[in-house]
Amino acid sequence: MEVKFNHVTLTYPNGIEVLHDMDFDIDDGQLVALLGPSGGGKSTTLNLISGLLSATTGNIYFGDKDVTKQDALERGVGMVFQNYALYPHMTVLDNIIFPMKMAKIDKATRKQRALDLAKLVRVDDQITKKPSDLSGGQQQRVAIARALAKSPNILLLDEPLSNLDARLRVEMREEIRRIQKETGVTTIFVTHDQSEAMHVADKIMVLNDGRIQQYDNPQSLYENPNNQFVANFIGEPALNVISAHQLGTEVTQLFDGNVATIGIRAEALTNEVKEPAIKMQAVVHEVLSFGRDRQATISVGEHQLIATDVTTSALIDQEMTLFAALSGVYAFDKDGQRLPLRGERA
Amino acid sequence: MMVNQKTTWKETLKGWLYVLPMLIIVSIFSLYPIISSLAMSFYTQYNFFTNQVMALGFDNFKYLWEDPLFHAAVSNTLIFVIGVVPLEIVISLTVAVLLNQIKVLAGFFRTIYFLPFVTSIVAISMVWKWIYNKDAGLLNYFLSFVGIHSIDWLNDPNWALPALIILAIWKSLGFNIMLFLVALNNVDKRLYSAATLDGASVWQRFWHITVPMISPMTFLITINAVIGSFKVFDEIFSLFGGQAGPGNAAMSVVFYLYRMFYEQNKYGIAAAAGVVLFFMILIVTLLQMWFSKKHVHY
Amino acid sequence: MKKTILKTIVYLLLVVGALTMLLPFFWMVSTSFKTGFEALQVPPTWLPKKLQITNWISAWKAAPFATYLLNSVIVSLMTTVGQIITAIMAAFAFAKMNFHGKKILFTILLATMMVPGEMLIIPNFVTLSQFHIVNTYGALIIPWLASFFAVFTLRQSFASVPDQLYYAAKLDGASDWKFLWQILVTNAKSSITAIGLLQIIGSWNSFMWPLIVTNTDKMRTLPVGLQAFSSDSGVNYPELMAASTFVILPMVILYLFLNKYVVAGISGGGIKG
Repeated sequence: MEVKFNHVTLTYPNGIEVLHDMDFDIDDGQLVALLGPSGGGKSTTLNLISGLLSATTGNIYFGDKDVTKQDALERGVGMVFQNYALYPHMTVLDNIIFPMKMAKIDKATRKQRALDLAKLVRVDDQITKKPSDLSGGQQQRVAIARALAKSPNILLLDEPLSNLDARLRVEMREEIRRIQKETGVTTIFVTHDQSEAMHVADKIMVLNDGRIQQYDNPQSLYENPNNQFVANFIGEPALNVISAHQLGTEVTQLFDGNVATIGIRAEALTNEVKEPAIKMQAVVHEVLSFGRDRQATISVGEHQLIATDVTTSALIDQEMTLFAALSGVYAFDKDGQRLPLRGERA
Repeated sequence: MMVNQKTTWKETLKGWLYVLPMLIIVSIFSLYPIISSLAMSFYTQYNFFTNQVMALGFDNFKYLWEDPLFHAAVSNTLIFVIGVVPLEIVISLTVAVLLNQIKVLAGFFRTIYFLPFVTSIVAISMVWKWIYNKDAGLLNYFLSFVGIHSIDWLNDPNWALPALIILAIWKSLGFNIMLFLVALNNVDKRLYSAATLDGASVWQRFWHITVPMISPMTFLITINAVIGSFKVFDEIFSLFGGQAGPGNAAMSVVFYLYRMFYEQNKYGIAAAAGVVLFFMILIVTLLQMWFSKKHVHY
Repeated sequence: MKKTILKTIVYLLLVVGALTMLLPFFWMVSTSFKTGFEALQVPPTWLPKKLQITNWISAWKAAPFATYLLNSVIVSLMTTVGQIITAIMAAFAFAKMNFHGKKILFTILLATMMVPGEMLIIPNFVTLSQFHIVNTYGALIIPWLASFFAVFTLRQSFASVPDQLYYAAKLDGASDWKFLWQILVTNAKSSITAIGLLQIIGSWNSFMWPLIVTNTDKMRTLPVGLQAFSSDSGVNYPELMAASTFVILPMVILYLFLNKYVVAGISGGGIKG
C-alpha cells in the first residue's frame, strides 16, 4: 500500500518540534530504508507511520485513506520491534498465531497460515520451540512472520539488524529483501548503517535533525547527493572535505555559486592522469593494501585525505600532482547545499 | 493508543477502573482508618455503638502522659528494640557471610535458617514457653551445665523481657539472613580479587568492601527490624498467656493499645496510643535516614 | 591445609546455628509424643521412650481444631486470591497505563505503607461493627482483599517487562485486558506465585486481627484457636505441643515444597514494613 505524508510535523509535549514538514510518498510494494544518525528522526518517522505516535499537524494517507487519526491497530500495520518483542511464554507457532487469534480467524485457517509463514521465513523446523531457545536471527524471522500474520498493509521494522552479529546481519538483510519481494508488502525499515540501507533498499530516505535530507534510490543518493550531510553519510570511507580556498579559484570557478567546501570521494582521487578532473598538489604519506582494497593517507595543505585509488607506484612523502575525477567531486556552499557545475544548472 | 497523545478521559476512566477494586478496599481499610484513628485520638467521650462523639480534646494524650503503665509500655518497647535489633543484625550478617563461603549444603542450611519465618509466632511461642519452663524446661537444663540454676523466665519480672528478646531474635534471623545473602551475592567479586592483589587481608576485605557495599541492604534491614520490633505484640500475648508478662513486665505499646481498646473499651486512649506509636516509628525512621545519609554508600 | 581448617570451622558454626534453629521444632515434636509424666522428667529425655500418638488425638478432640483448620484454609486462600487479583489489575494500571491522577494516587498509597497496621485496628473494628460483620468470614477476609504492598511489588515486576511487548500485543489486536491476563500474567508467573505464597503464610500466621474480630470457636483461625486452647486447657505440654504442630506443619510443608518461590519472593520483593 502506498504511504503518503502531507506536511506532517511532530511536536513533543515540552513544545520542541522534532519533525519538520515531512512530505513524501512511498510507492506500493517498495522496500524503503529510513537512514540517519541517532536522534535524526528516523524512528520517530517510523512510529508516525505505525500509529504509535500521532502527528501534531499534517496528514498521513495509506492509499487514498486518511489514517492520521487512526491508531496502530486500525491502520493494520505489522511491526517488528528492535528487540523483537516475542511473547516469551509462547512457542514460535503460537507467537505467529497470536494476532490471528486476536482477529478471531478460525483455528484451522490460522494454523495453516502460521505454518505457511514459518516456511516463508524459514523457521518451520523450530515451531515448537520457545523464543529463548532461538538465535537472534531466528527470533528476527519469527518476529517478521508474526508481523506478516495479519496480512498487514505495511510492514515496519525498527533497526531490524542492530542486535545481530556481523555475519548474521548480512544474511538477514538478504532475507528481509527476499521475504519482501516474495510477499510484495510495502516495507519500511529503520537503520543507522548506510551500507545496510544501500544493499537492501529500493529507496532510501536520509533523515537528519528531523528533516528529510534526500529521498532517492541508493545509486543517485551516492552519485548525486543533495547536500554535504548526505554526501558525508553515504559511502565508505567517508567523503574527503577540503576548504575551497585551499584549492583556489581554478577549482571553485567550475561551480555555480559561492563555494565554501569541496568534497571528494575516496575512490575519485588518483595519481594517474584523468579527465575531466581537478588537479591538486598533495603529499602521499602511506599506501596500505588489505587484500584487494587499498587505502592511501594523503595531505593537501592542512587537510588529511583518504584515497582508495592511489597506486603503490606513488612516491611517498614527496609533493606530487593528484587528480580527482570530476564525477566524484562535489561543491557545497556555506550551508552545506550542493552547488551544480557551471553550465549544468540543476 | 498513541504514545505521545495527551492522556484522554477514556484512558483515565479505564486506568481508574483497573485500580478500583484495590482502591475500594484500601480506602475503607487503610486510608479512612488513618484519618479516623487520628481523629479518634481526640475523642474524649465517644459512643462506639452509635459512633457518636460527645466531646473532643487532648485528654487522651494527657492520660497517656500521666499513666505509669503507658510509660512502662514505652520503655519496655524501647528496651525490646535495643535488645533485639543490633543482635539480630550482627548474628544474621555473620550467618549470611558464613553461608556465602560455602557451596555444598548451602541451600540446605538456608532452608533450615529460614524455617522460623514461615511458622506461626503463636504456635512457636507455645514451644518457647515450654522451653522456658522453670522446672522441666530445656533452657534451664542447659544452663544447669554451666552452674546457673532455675531461672523462672516467664514469671520473674526481671527475666520476662530477656525471654521475649531471645524468642524474637530466633524468629527473625532467617528473614534477615535471606536479605543479607541477596546483598552479598550482588557484590562484584572482582572487587575482592582487586583488594586481594592490593594485599588486603580477609578481615580488611570484609570491613572495606563487604560492609560498605552491602550498607544499603543493612540500612533497609535495620529500618524494617526497628519498625517490626516497635510493633511487638503476638509473641507477648502467647508467651505470657494473654497477659503482658508478670506484673506487666513485658507490656508493649501495641499491647497497651490492645488492652485499652479490646479489654477496657477506652477507644480514644487506644487510638492516642496508636498515634504515639506512629510518631515514635516515624521519628526513629527519620533519624535512621539522617544517619544513613552519612554512612550508607549507594 | 589452612583452608581446610577454615572451611571446617565455617561448617561447624553453621551446624551449631542450624541446630539452634531446629531445636524448638525438634523439641515440639518430641514432646508431643511423650506422656505427661515423661515430659516433666528431669533430666529430660531427648526422644520419647515410647512413640505414642494419644496426645495428638486428645488435643485434636479437646478443641474444635478441624473447624479452626477449615477457617484458616478458607481465610488464607480467599485473602490470597483476592489480593492477587486486585494487585494484578492495579499493578498493570500503575506499570503500563496512563491516566490522570496516577502519580498522586501512587504517592498517597506509598505513604500509607508507613503507617503501622496496628493503629488502624480500632477504626476498622468500628467499621466492621457498623456493617454487622464482626465474627464472620467477612470480617476475617474483606479487609485483606487488597494490599498496596502486593501492588507495589507486582508493579516492579510488570514494569520490567519491556513496553515494546505491550505495543506488539496492541498491534496484534490484543486489548489491555487480554494483554494483561494472557501475556503479562503468564510472564510474571513466578513473582505472582511468590507474592501469593508470602500472603498465604502471612495470613495463616496472622494473630491480632482474627483475635479481635472473632469471639466464638466457630470463627476462630488456627493461631487464635491454639491460643484459646492453651489458656483453657491449663498446662498439658505434650498436648499443647501436638496442637502447635497442627498449626505449624501445613506452612512448613508448603515452604519445603515451594522453597524457591518463597526465597525469590523475599529477595525480589523487598520488605514488608
